Amino acid sequence: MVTVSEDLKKKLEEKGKESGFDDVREYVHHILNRFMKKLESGRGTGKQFSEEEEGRVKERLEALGYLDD
Amino acid sequence: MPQDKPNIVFVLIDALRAGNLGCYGYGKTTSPEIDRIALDGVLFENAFSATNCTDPSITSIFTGINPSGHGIVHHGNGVTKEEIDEFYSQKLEWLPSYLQKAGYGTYGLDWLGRWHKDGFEYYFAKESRFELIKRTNSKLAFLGPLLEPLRKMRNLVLPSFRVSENAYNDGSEITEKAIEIIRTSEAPFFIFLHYWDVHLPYNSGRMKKRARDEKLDKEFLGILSAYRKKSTTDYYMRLFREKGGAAGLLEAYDQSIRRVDGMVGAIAEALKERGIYGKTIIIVTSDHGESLMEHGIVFDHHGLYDVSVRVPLIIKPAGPGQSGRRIRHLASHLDVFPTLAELAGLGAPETADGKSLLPALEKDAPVRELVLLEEEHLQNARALRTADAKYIRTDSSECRRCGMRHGKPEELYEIVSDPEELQDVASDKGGKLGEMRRACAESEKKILRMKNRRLQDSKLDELED
Repeated sequence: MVTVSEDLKKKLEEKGKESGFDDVREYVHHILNRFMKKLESGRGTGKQFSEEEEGRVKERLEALGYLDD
Repeated sequence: MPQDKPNIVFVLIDALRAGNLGCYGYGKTTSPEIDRIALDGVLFENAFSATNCTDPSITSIFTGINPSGHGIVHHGNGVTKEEIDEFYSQKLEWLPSYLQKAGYGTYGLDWLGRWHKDGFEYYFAKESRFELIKRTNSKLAFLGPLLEPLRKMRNLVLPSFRVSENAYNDGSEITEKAIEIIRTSEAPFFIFLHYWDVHLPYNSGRMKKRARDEKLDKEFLGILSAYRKKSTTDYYMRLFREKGGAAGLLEAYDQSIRRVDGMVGAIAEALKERGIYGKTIIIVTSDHGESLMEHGIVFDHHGLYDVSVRVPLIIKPAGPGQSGRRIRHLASHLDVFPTLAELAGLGAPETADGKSLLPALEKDAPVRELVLLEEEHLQNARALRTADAKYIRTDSSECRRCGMRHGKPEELYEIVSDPEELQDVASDKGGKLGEMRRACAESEKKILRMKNRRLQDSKLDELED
């Protein structure tokens, strides 16, 4: 059981109706479900560096005595 | 130079432990120029890096967050895509970008690249002589077996190439570049210089031959005989022979410091020549220390003993001199970003966990009671350092570099009576051990909670977008 303010309940009812939800509880369940899926998703930024850049750093580190560790 | 913000020159000397600088009480002369800057500023006697290797350490300096918090916990080739994802997903404030947004010209004189170059309008990596030599060598590959004798001849005629070929001695090049920026830059500038000269293999240029020290050699060989990884022992035996034994290695480390010290002096001189020394904040620190045979670790930086994590931290603010004040209170690399932001008259970075050291700088007031230290690259370890004690917990069964275990699963040292951490009192001081163990675990949890919150907030922001 979660208690929400009257003001928030009113907004949820309005937005729920706009999105086709007659029952505010179903709408809240839908939103929370989406949020949780997003929070649990493993997708990252996909940020990658070029092989050239990684290779350059690797060469330097080898020269500094970094072996295979 | 029309500006109201101070310039910032940030000197980071890789693998420089605090104890080998004159201003930190070293018996030999290694650092007259850095000592002079310390006399114009404030020196932190008990400053610590967040970890003991470069990639995560510099990331901690530039974010003000421990490695387990910002996500980059390994070094070099060990950094995973997941770590990079976790780092970028949090949308952390980053010192160079923060200063760039505030109107600073930002210059990164380093080759680490990848995320390290973010926020720098100029980044040095591709211009160094090392890159030139590598390119030239690859073009000459068709010479096959003739290449090596030709290279030896060239090294005889042009000895500077011999040093450069060892990959990291960009010290003179980045110094020249920094001086050029100092002479020509109009905007308030932030120059980050990363000197690698004090890092293994301590290629410090010409060095006087020194007599072998049999006792030190025996100690070195005894430590190495316990190592269980052939590639590591081979590497150190080669260095041992090249440098003239253990005494030669120790001297090479000191000589490398002298070499960098002279270059730091040249930068200070350039600031004075342009009349902006007083308008410039200078910070001198390292990313981690170095174990020079202490704790069964030869010439490397792993383990969370003070030799590997106690770093020099000298801050010369802009404005009137500070008369070389020395601060005994604890300081962490996490505090550097908030401190520089405040000294530059900017707001505090919201995502940084560190605290501004201004209360310490201005009123000698303490800003923190403890420092959490982390190691993930070669071992999985955590340590908690307070003003009078050190707790170390090593979770991994062996060090990936040495193939053996360093220290016990839990260690406790009483720093006031045993600053060299020689007497482990974990079994005698059960109460203190429990207290430190709990405090360490609590600090770890707090960092992870904060990271998870930032990751969740970032995902919710994406959802709203």
